[in-house]
Amino acid sequence: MHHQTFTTRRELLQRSALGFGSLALSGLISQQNARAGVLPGLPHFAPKAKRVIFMFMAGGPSHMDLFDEKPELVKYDNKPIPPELVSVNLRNGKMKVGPKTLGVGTVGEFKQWGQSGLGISTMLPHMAALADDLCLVRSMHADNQSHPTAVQQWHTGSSVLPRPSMGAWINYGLGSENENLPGFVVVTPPMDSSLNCGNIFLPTKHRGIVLRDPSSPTSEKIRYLGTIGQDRAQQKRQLSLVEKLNRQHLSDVGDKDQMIEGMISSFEMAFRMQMEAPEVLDMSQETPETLALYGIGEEPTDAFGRQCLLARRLCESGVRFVQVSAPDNSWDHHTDIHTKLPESCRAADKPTAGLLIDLKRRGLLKDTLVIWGGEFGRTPCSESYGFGRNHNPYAFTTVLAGGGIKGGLAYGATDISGSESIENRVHIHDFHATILHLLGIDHEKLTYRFQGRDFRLTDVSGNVVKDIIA
Amino acid sequence: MNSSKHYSAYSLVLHLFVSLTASLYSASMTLAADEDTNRGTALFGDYIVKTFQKHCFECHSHASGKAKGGLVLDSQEGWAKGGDSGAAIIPGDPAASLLFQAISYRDGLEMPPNKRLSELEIERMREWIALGAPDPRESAMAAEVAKAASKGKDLWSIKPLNQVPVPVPQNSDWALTDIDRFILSGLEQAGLQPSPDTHPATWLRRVNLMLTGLLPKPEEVEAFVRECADDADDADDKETTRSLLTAKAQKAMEVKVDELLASRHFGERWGRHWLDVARYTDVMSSLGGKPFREAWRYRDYVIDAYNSDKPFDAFVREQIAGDLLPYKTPELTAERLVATGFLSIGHWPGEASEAGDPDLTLLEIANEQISTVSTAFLSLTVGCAKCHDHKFDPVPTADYYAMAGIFRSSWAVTFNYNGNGGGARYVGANNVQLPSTKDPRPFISAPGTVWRDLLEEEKDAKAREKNKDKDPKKNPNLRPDGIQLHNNGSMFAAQPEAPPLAVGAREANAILDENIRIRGEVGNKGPVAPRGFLSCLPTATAKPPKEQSGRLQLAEWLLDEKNPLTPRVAVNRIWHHLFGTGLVRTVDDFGITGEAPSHPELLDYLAHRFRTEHGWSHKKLIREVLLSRVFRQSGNYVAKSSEIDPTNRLLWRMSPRRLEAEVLADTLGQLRGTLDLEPATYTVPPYKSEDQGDGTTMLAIPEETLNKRAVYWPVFRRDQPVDLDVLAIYDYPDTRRAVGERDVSTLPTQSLYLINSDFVQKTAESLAGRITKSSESDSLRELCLRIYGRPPTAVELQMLLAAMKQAHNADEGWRDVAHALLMSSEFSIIH
Repeated sequence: MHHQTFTTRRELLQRSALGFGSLALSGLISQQNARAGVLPGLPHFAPKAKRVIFMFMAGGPSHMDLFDEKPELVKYDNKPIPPELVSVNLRNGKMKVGPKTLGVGTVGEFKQWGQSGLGISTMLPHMAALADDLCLVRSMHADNQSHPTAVQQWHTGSSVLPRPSMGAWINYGLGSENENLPGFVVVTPPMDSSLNCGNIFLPTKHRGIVLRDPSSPTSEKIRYLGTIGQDRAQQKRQLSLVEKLNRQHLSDVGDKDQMIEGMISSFEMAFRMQMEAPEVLDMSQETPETLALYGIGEEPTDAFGRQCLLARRLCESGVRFVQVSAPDNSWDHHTDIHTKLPESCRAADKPTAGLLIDLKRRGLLKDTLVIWGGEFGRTPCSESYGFGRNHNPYAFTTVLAGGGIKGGLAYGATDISGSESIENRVHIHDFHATILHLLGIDHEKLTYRFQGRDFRLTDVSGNVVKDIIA
Repeated sequence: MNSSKHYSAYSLVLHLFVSLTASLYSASMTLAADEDTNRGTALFGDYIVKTFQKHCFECHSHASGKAKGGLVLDSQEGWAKGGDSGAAIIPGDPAASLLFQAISYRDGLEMPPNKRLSELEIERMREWIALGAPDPRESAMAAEVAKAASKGKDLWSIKPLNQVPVPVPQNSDWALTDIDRFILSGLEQAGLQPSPDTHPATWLRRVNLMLTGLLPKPEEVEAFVRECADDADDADDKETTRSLLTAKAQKAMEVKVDELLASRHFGERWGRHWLDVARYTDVMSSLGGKPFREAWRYRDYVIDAYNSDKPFDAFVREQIAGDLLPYKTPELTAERLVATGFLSIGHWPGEASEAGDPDLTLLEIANEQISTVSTAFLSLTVGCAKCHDHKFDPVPTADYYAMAGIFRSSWAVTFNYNGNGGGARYVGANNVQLPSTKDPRPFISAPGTVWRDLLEEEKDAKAREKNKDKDPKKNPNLRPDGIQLHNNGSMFAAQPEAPPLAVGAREANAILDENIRIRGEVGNKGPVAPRGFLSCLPTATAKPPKEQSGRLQLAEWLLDEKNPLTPRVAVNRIWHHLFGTGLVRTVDDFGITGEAPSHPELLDYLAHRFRTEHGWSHKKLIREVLLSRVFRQSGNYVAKSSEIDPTNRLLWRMSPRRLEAEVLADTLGQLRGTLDLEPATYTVPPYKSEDQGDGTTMLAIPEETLNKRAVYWPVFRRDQPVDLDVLAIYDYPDTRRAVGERDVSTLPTQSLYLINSDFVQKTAESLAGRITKSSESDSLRELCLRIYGRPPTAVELQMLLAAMKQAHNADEGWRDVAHALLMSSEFSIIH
């Protein structure tokens, strides 16, 4: 192998500028923060947040054990729970609540945190310590009781029909802040990511680019991105030849062919991505202190910590929407909830808090919206085949922090048993409308015409929850 | 109370009089009634309408696009029809009017929800209703419906096929076929010239890629160019553009087209086009349910149908109602059963019936089938009419439910209900047993193939653990090795001794007409819509008989002589695949929101010809187009023409097109020398999972499968396994809906694939290793012939020679040059 090493990316870019076609490399650095691909007319109004980190807690974390304390339940822990305590919707849903159905008391314990005194479980000590930055939306509700449909609604607003993911909508509206990187990156995919992080009918470039394996530092992070140690000189020589051939082709065909021009510029973009993305994805330059902050290098936080750190690096580099996901159904505690819920908390708590702290100290939290939550909540009562909680779309808590969010706030409320949201209810459509609003987008105006109809993320619904906006 | 009722009835009559015939009859009305109405109208104009605007329209008007509870208040018709709970206002009877009850915050319904109206506003509303609720506003809803209906009637695509005489262009030299005359006339009218004929080599590569998706071999290129050339011409001269006009060239082209149409690879290429429309997949999404393990038979049926040039009418009939067609031979029966797989491989709800209503699930299945059938054959979006009369297209809700009845009376998907409002759980596509045939080829699974879903693999492990102490004898579903069989025993692929199965449709146990569901809400039943078809298309087809689902009649209706849409849509799809753009560019939308055809007369000419002269034969129509002058135009850009017609709608040139994912994969395999051209007899391979160490799993597709043509690769509706990445990178279609036109994106991820993927790099290496190493220029010539299907130009030769010199050694040089040619735009474009 023939090796030629360049000391910095900048140097390499400058050198390659000599050979590689019309690539405006000198302008590259200054363009880095230019806004590429914002739709005309957007933002509709001044945004409070510029980018989003969406932390998807797959499986449905137990809101009544983590963020929404229900003291009444303690009386019925492992004892028959009076059916009338469970909301009608839940009683009549998939789960049968009868006279023998056991209640589940609070798993773990709650404490008041920060100046705001938000009640959060001691199982999430790192997140809770940041209570004054968090907004707990306790009155979320959705329409689906099974994971696939609920996850789909959480990501796309639609439960069955394939619709673009919220990340794709946002990427479509606002584009990437960095033209060398995609606008929607999925660090770890949720289930069925082609559906849940898909563009569906939006132009393909808006779909989420899935990085497959962030826990293994040596693996490719974007497919076919190549590696840092690659022989760039040889490749550059080859790409110059490709460009010459393409330019010749263009002139043979007649100098104005859009497809060939598109291919030439996509090679340039690919080359820039090759230069920039590996560096963004390479965490080796992070200090031990930062790694420790995210719980990287220790168990059980290493895997999720890496994802969170990568999310920060991507956001910092200008990616508009970054998604990280807990492993499929990892918060789905139907059985052994007393052991398994604390385990899930331990894996997610420190990395999440680490990300918030890191964003804050870098001045990024003020215009980065962080969303933390699952596709639904859980029931106040247990299932018959093991001690744990079932799915509950009628009530759950979603945690928000950062850009434009009022910290130290608990918004909305559920009923006495946490089975149903009753006060200031926030449907997923309302939630999506609010996220778009924070980014300066009127959710009714961000539309895309497909098969003769104007589609939008919130379909025909959605009210912005103004009370949680700072 | 009595007097109030009397008053109410009186006012109601009065009100109807006023609103319907005000000007005619006002003179004859009593003075008192007149006064009431006048007062009411004034009250309305001064106060009521403002109250509506201020407090109600946000959620109850056409303007806001919202009709919460189904109620709109922006017209008399709106409140008279009312919402979910019936009429909102009973003129003359405030107490009985739901709207008044709601604004008074009595009886639970409280409107507006956030703040009660003032006492004064409530009192005015009461008075206005008591006065007969006169509402002089023009009916917005009626106007909208009337507008849509009139638009719908004018829709070009449902008008009868228009047969006009073939035009006579001014330039009498150029046109060779009627198709040419239509196109040339269009060009002449716009002041455009057709482009010169392309080079024979370019034409050859074009037809090869379009008909079979494979590259011509170097010796084929050279032979063809020689055959086309006049003896005096230099066969290598790229400028020899007129050589396609000679009698020899004509003969050579005809022979070539016939050879390619007869090739088995034609069906593999064109069958794939239809599989896009059929939303073909082997593995459902992770929404649950089992893979469509026997779907590959449907895939092979489609490929075979194109290869045997099955007339399109038979193709339509078999896919919709193959199981109902008369029995002739076991082979034919089997084939037709397999064809109904079209109805079984949709995007089914995993467990969608959240409300515990199997009715909802069954309606969702019918909805998918209606959408797919109407898009595939009619390019109409009938699905919109599920909730309301179609806003644009002439499809009323009643038509939708007339079709829903047909599919509800059919059974193509298997669901389990766990009763008691527990909802429905998708189990799998309906399996139909095939009669055994003498030719085992498409109907027996590969011996010993055991295919398992990964999720099931996991479940098995758990089951084994759980059941390890249990006695297998007591549990009939428990195998001796501890694996729990699913109740229907369907965990395993068909074993050699098992009767061959296919996914497909049958008649449902109950044949029934469906109720209209108001606003598409399952629980909100309206009148029964007898099973039938879209009323906008005239038909002589009989309505479905009582004892049959009506699929057979549906197929006949689609093919009815009076139905102009089916042949129009079909020939437009063919045109789209040959020219990259349909005569109607919106190939899946022939409704109001779709585009009008660029050449309406040509479209109808072709549609008519396809149905009559060609007897619905794809091959005959394709042959005719391929041998036209239009099809042999050069793809070169012409600035002057582009100014007049920048998108090339009038076809002044051949638009260059990017290779589709499968063609790219197949041609790379061809160049690498690894492509196995034998068809695969089954799809779903015994793939293995690789734990990535972080809880994610990747599916590894065996090399043997990957070496087959991509049409035989398994299709995953959920995330594509990494091994099949090239599909996702190059715009593989969404398999959750019928797709007639794929996206063509140009993305850096594609460039990255060409630069860094192992597959492309290995292809370059292999090519470099296999070219004949004589002189450098001869070897480069061979390389270009293989990759571009033509020899290099002098300029290109120079560039490539220079690149060879820069390399450290010859091996590296050959590899680099081969790789560069594969990455270059010319390779991945059809010219």
